Amino acid sequence: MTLEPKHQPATFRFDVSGIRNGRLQNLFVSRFREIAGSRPISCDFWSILQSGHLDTLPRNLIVMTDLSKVAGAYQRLDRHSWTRAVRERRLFFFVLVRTERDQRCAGLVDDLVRASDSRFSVWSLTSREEEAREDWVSRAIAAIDPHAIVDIRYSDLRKCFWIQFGDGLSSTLNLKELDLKATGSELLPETVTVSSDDSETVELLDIKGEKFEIDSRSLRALVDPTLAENLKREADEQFAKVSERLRRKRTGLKVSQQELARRTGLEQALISKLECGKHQPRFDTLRKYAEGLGLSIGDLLEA
Amino acid sequence: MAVFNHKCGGYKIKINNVDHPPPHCHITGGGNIRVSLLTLEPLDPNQEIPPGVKKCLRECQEEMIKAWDKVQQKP
Repeated sequence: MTLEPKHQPATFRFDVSGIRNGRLQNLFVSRFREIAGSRPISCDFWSILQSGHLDTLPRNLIVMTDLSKVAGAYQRLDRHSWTRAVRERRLFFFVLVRTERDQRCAGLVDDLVRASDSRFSVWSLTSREEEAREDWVSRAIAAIDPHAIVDIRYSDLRKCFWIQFGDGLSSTLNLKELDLKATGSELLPETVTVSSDDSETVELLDIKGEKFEIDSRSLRALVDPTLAENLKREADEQFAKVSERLRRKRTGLKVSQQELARRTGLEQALISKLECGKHQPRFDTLRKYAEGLGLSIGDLLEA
Repeated sequence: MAVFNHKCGGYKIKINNVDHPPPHCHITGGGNIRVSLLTLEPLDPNQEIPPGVKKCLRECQEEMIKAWDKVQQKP
């Protein structure tokens, strides 16, 4: 049995104490409470960081801070621990460059963005931009990826997975819906977990102990019709782009569909479908199509 | 056991066992960028492929398209 998806806003926590300006702190807190609407709770990120007990950090914590403050903390911690904390606790950094002190740390930004899995948004604060501060807070909240998986568990009793996403949507999916048998792998559903590399992948182990990876959007689309529609549109756009490239390459070489069919052994109807974006090309088809035109697959698909 | 795994500098290029169309790979190691295997362009136009990774993608394109044929596609 599959339960209807439930939508409960994820509980966000925030820490604005890294902004060394009381007036700005108050403005952020006030706006954050208005926008989040889910009783955001303040949290002392810096004390927990200093204590070294990173595993006690709450999930979905938004840290608003001056760049110099976060850069100093990052340099005192090893990169691996930092990245692990960001991934596991789903931290998000909203970072301001306001003073000369912050500007002197600009060289660390690239490293911080990468070590934080891009969950690190930097804003240069000029007086004009300060007027748009409310917009910054909205963007900080929106930047928390709604499709990422926060938690996934398997119930052996009900033979289903329970999944929760970044925006609070939760649902169950049974094994039949996932149809993992079609993969031909003997999987162990009870080993399911969110990937330690990124929160957009779910991992299971097979009986040989090897990883099997599932994309979070694919799972979400099974319970979220809007995302399913967006993914379909995205796919259609890509296939339209590819079909246009195929047609342009063929006509550029003055080869008719009939001639290409003769050279490749592909049916002309299939070539026509490919060039109309109505058929998802497989490797062997693309290879034959490319060879028929005397091109490599890379040259065939190049813009 | 992932369908495709390749390291490129500090980034990882991978294709999941289960994913949605169109054929694409994920570049991880500083966010997660989905790149079309057919056009080698990001599926999200707001994202950019790191410069060093473009060459790796071009070199692996055929292998990745071949690997995608093994992906179970959902939805």
